[in-house]
Amino acid sequence: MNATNHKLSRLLMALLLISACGLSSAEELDETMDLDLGEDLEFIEIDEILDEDESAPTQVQAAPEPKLAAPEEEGEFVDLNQILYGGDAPGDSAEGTVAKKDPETMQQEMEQLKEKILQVNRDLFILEEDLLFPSSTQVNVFVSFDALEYFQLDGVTLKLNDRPISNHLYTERELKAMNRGAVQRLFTGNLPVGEHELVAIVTGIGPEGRDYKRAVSMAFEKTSGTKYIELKIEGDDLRKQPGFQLKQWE
Amino acid sequence: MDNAMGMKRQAAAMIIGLALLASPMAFAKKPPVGDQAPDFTLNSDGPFNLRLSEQKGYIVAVVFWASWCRSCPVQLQALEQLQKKYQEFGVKIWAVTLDKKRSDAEHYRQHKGLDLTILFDDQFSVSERYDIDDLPSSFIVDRDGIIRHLQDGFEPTDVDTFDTVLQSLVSE
Repeated sequence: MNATNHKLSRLLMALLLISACGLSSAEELDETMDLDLGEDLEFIEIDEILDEDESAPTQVQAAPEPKLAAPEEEGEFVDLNQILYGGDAPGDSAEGTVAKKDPETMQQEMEQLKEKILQVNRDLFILEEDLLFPSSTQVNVFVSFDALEYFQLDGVTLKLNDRPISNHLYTERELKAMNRGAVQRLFTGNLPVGEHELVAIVTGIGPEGRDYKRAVSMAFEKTSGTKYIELKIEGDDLRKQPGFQLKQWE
Repeated sequence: MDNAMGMKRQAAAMIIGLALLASPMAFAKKPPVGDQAPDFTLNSDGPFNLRLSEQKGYIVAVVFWASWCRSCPVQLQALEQLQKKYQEFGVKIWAVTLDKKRSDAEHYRQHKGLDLTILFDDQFSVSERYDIDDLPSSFIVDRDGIIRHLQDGFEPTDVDTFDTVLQSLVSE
C-alpha cells in the first residue's frame, strides 16, 4: 500500500513537474515571441537607417530604379547637343543627316510640310470664318460675270440698308479670271434676322467704249440660315447690252 | 450757375478731345521703311485698274503729286528719266495724282509730255492711308512688296538718292 502510495505520489510529483515545466516553457515561448517581435521591429528600423545611408548596400539600392536613375544623373553633365541631336555631336549629326538624307527625301519632306501648313491654314481660315461670321447671321454676296462682248467691268460698290459695305475695283488679272468663269466673293458679313435691302452699283465700259454705270437693288429677308446673294452680270444678245441681276440662293 | 456751365463746357471739351484722339485719323501713321506696303487699287490712265499687291516681282516707285503742285514737275521728270533707265530691270513708276478732276491731271501730263503711268486718287483713300502731308511725296517698294524708301518733299539732290536706291534694289 505504501509502495503504491509512494508510486502515486511520485507520479503526482512528476505530473506537477511536467505541468510546471510546461507552463514555464509556454511563458518562455511568449517571452521569446515578444522578443522576436521586438527584434523584428528593431531590424526594420535598422534597415530604414541603412536605406538612408547611401554607402551601405541595400536591397532598395540594388533595385533597377536607382540603376536607371543613374544615367539621368550623369545626363546633367552630358552635352546639350546629345539631347538635341540624338546622342551625337552636332557636327557629326549634321553630317550624318546630310549623308543619310538625299535631296529627294528632303524635298519630299519639304513638300509634306508645305501640305501640312496649307491644311492648318485652311482649318484656321474655316475656324476664323465660323467665329467671325456664324451661319445664323452670315450674308455672302458673290459676283459672276458673263458679258465680255458688251461690258468691261471696272468696279462694284455694294450698299446694304443704305450703308456702303464694299467698294471693289477690278484689275486685269481678276477680269481674266472672271472671264474664265470664276465667281468672286465680294462681301461676307453679319445681318440680323429681318428685312434688308441690298444695292449694287456697277461701273465699267459699255458697248462702243462708253462709260457705263448701273445700279440694281433687291429687298430680301434674312432668316436664321446663311444667306447667299449673287450679282449676275450677263450679256443680253437681243439688246446688245449687259444685264445686271441680283439673285438669292438658299 | 456759372460754375455748372463751366463744368459742362469742360466736360464737353474733354469728350470732344477724346473723340478726336479715338478717331481713325488720329492714328493714321506713315508706314515705316521695312514694312509691307499697304495694298491699294486705283483707277489708272490705262485700260485697267492697278493693284500694288499684284506687282510682286517688280520694283514700284510711287509718287504722289497734283497738277497744282509747283515742285512736282521736277520730280516727275526726274522719275521719268529713271524709269527709262531701269525699265528693263523691272522698275515701274506710278504717279498717283490727288487732283479732284481727272481731266486736270490728263491735261497736265499732255502739257508736260510726261510718259508715266498715272493713277487717280480722287477720293484720297490711298494718300490718307500713307499719311501724305507734302507734295510731292514718294516711296519705293521692292520686289517683295516691302517699303524700302520713303521721302517727303523733293529737292534736286534727291534724284541721286532715288537713283542709288533703285540701283541697289535692281542689283539685289
